[in-house]
Amino acid sequence: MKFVVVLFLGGAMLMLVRRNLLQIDLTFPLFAGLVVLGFASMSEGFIDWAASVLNIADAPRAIVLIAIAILFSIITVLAIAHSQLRRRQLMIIRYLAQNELMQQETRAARN
Amino acid sequence: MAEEAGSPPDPSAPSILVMIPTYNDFELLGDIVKSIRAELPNSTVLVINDGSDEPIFRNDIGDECLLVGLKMNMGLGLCMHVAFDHFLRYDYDVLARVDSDGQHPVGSLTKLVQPILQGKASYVVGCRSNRNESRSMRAYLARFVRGYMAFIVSTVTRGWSPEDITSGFIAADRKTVQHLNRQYLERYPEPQMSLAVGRQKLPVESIEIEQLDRAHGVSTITVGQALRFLYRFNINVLAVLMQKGTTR
Repeated sequence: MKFVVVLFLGGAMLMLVRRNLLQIDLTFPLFAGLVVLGFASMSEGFIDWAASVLNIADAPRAIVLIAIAILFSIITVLAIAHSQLRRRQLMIIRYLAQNELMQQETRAARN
Repeated sequence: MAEEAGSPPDPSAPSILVMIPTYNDFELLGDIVKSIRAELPNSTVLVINDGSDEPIFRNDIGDECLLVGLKMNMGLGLCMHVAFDHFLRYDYDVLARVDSDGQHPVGSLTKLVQPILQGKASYVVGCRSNRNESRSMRAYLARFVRGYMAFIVSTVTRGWSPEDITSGFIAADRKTVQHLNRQYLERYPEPQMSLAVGRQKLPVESIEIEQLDRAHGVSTITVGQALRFLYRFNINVLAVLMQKGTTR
């Protein structure tokens, strides 16, 4: 069952990447971390170790918390990447608009 | 600068750039441009088509206008930056804004730019004396939001803000344009601009205007967009508060 869940999550992630909704180059370390965590969480020994490191009494919750932290990190990275792209897009549009207006000013000055 | 054929420009006259941002609202554009030319004959009119569904044709607005068309709707903030860039590049003295929906009284443009030309103010806002007259539910909500934003801006700038911070009928001098162009203006930038000007302690003046009824089209601000507008405003205020004082 655990394996099916991991496969499903991995498939969903790949689908997001395929549809260009996730920037894999920027989120790759986090993405890889999530996949490794998914597989590692199938091991009881790893779950107990993570729970003891994080001082969490209920062992499975440790995995859930780590996954949530990684997902938040992914969202943050994506938001930053999106913002940077938006700024670049705006700069390009401003540059193009300025060029168009410059041509009109030059034409008007000639006339 | 673009000047109308047959009317030689007066080199000593201050150069005024009047921007008209428009989004699917150009039924009245030709008339507005004509009115501006009649009110401020030495001005240059810049029409910015913010990704409207239909293109604007030269014939509709006249050859003497500057016209730039954005390929997609990017919001008023970007339109302001496009106008700022052009204003600064061509050394205009005053920038004024008139909306394309016909609600701004173009006949008050001279009154709007006068305080800047006289050196009394750097940023002038047309304060709508009839902005609270409507009795609809939407109008009450808009009044509440406007009141909230005006209170916050006034508090943050310690009273150094125009009375009507959401009015788009504005004029600015070079120093103000330079300062505003350093900001990252959002989709509905008027409160953000008032905040930036107020924090910089630039001289602000308000003039009374009578907002005209919308003759064509509908407001682009839906309830959902109003909530996003409010969200952006609050985030912007927090960002401004985190900055170190004024940079005057």
